[in-house]
Amino acid sequence: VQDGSTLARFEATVLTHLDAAHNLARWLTQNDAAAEDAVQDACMRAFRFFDAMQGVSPKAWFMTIVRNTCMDYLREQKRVGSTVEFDEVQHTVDDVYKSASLDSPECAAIRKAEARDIHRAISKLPIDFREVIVLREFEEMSYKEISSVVNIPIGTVMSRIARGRDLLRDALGEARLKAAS
Amino acid sequence: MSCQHIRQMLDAWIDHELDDVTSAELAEHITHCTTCSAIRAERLKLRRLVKSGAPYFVASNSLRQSISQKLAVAANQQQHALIVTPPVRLNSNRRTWWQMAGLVTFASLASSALTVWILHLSVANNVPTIQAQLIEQHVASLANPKRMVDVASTDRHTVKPWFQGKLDFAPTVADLADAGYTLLGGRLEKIESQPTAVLIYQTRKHPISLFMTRATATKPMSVNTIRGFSVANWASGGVEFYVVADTDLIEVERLATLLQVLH
Repeated sequence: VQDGSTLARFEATVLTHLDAAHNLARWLTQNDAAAEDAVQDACMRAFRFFDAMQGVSPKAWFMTIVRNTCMDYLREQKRVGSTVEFDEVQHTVDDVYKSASLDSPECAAIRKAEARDIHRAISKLPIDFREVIVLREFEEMSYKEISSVVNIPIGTVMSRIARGRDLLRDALGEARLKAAS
Repeated sequence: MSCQHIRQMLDAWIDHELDDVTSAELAEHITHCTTCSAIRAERLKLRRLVKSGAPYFVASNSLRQSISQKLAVAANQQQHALIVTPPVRLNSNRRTWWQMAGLVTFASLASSALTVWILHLSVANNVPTIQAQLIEQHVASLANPKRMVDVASTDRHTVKPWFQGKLDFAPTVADLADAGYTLLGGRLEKIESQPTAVLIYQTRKHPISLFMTRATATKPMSVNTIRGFSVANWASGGVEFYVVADTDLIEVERLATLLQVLH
């Protein structure tokens, strides 16, 4: 039987990862509105299935739902033939750097052009690599957690992270990596 | 270990994913192999660059608020449903029938409360001409199956995108199959020179038309019976809704309440 504290428990264990969920959704869908829709849908699904929560950790469980919701969205986009063209994604990336909202201390530390290049490099990664890189680099999830979110063996997580980083290195170029301190 | 072997495990090593023995072997190798050591340094730089240089997209306040509101409604529903939620498999995105039964129980509780004060409201009102017009539309579309829907699909993810660029508001396209309302499709109409989205749902062989136009103000739900047709009308979130069907008032109200609760 549901008690009054279910929502409180949900907020404490699941909703506390809302930023992580949104960040993942935004990197996967590459679209603000789609990311918000996906996170909202995922929250409602997570709440509905809260009693059935399982897996490595609440965060991994929630991220699994977010990830699957985003994949549904991307599949649907593909099916109706309205896949966002890569150029469009790049315009979105460029727009982010035109707006002032990214002037956080972390970004100030690095030149804007450099930040844009990194953003571009990650956006350009095929989704199989992008998702493991985002989960690893931003969320610092363990390979075991990533394996449960993406539903692939740990060995595959390992090789995708390695390959994803190779692709990022190639995209950023050696010069940028040498110059960065 | 060969350099090639080391490089295969380098990423797992810097991510602290290797066991102690293997980690020690890699550390040993790195101290005397300048090539592998340089690759490791490059990897660490790359990781730092990504972390500090790429944006982290936090959830907006409006998203947080919207989620809190929806969760509050959902929590309320669960409390009203006098049914224990059975364990549901994670990858299932369909509600079980008894969860749905709980939802419908709540919806009908809510709607009977509404009926009490709505009924005496609608008695006082004249039949608005727009509602009579919508009934004409409803009947005419059923008489000609070709005219009923321009996009025929039970999938809201097919129907909703179809309206893109055709309307000056975002229509609500809900999947209510589990509640017994099958989506048949949608079409576009101009009603009193307003672009109008029309969705057709079906329940127990009764087609139901859901009309949506742009609204400037919110309006509480009201229900009406006109020549045997039931009409529910309300406006929220910039959209005005009309549900029209030849079913009884309760049925129309239930669908209207479901739409209000879910969206």
